[in-house]
Amino acid sequence: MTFEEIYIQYSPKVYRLCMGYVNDPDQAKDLVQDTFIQVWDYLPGFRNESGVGTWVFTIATNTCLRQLKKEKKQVRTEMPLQLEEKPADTMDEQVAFLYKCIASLEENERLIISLVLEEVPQKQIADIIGISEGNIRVRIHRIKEKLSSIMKYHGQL
Amino acid sequence: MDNFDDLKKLWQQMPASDLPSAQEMNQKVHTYQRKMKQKYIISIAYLAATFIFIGIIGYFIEPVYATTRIGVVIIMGGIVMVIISQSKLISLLSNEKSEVTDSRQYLQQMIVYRKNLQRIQTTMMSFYFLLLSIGLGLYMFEFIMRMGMIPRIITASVTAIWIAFNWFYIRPKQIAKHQSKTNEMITQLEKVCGQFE
Repeated sequence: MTFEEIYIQYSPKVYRLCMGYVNDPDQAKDLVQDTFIQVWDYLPGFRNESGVGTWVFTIATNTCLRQLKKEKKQVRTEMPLQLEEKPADTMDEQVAFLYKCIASLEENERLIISLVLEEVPQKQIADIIGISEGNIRVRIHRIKEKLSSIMKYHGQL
Repeated sequence: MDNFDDLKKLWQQMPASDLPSAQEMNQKVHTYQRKMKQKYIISIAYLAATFIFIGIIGYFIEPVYATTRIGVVIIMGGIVMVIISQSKLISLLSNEKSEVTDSRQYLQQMIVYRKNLQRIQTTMMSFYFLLLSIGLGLYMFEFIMRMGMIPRIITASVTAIWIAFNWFYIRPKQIAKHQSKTNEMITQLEKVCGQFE
């Protein structure tokens, strides 16, 4: 796969992952750029063509985690207390609400649930995050419940 | 959660249309690489300028004692050391990108890296101030010896106070400045790393 092919296929997925993490379009775009600069750098040495998705998502999650140093500038709404009570009506509002709910989770939870929503198989998520498949299954279950309760609390489910 | 599939659909709705095109991203990558190269060239230019400056000083001052020249060389050595280590730090920082390892391992590597960086900065800063103090002391020696008793005592005292001020006030302040930044980052990294346990 060429750099362009990888970019075209994965940049929207990486963008959503980054949005799930920072919930800020400008920061998410910066993270996408940082991710693909690294993809470019590492691509000549990359051999495992079949695992390109896992590879790109691993670079993206690590880039998000490195984002910590800027996190103080991040305007992250604390959930659930500061979230508006009014249920989201339009599609855009619902999307924004979902991303806001995800951004209120802990850092590792945000990454894991974003990968689940991106339909990355559990085995691959375990490889990306670096914990066992059994452990990831339990975590996914807990995160889904947590997300569900946050959303229910605000009348979205 | 019964309607998790609905959430998946909603998740996919996030518009990603204003992302740069593949061609634009290609350009961004090249611009980034050019900037990195420029940073490296600038640090080399600083280094070259410092050497030229040493040369000029060596050419124009005509001291009687060898200690004066040695003092100048030691001071310049300290400055050169800082420039080299800073440019090395820049390259270390720019290489601070994810080796493609899993996130848990990556966080652990980052913590080790940051701790090493902190150690290097602290040691380098102390060594720099040590060289600066020795260099200044040796440089001033000749001028002090040429003076009468009272100016000699005054100049020697002022130099000693200046060295002490640098060592006991400026140096710890500089080290603390670096450390507080790095410590904050290490704390945050350790917090997230704990979430993976």
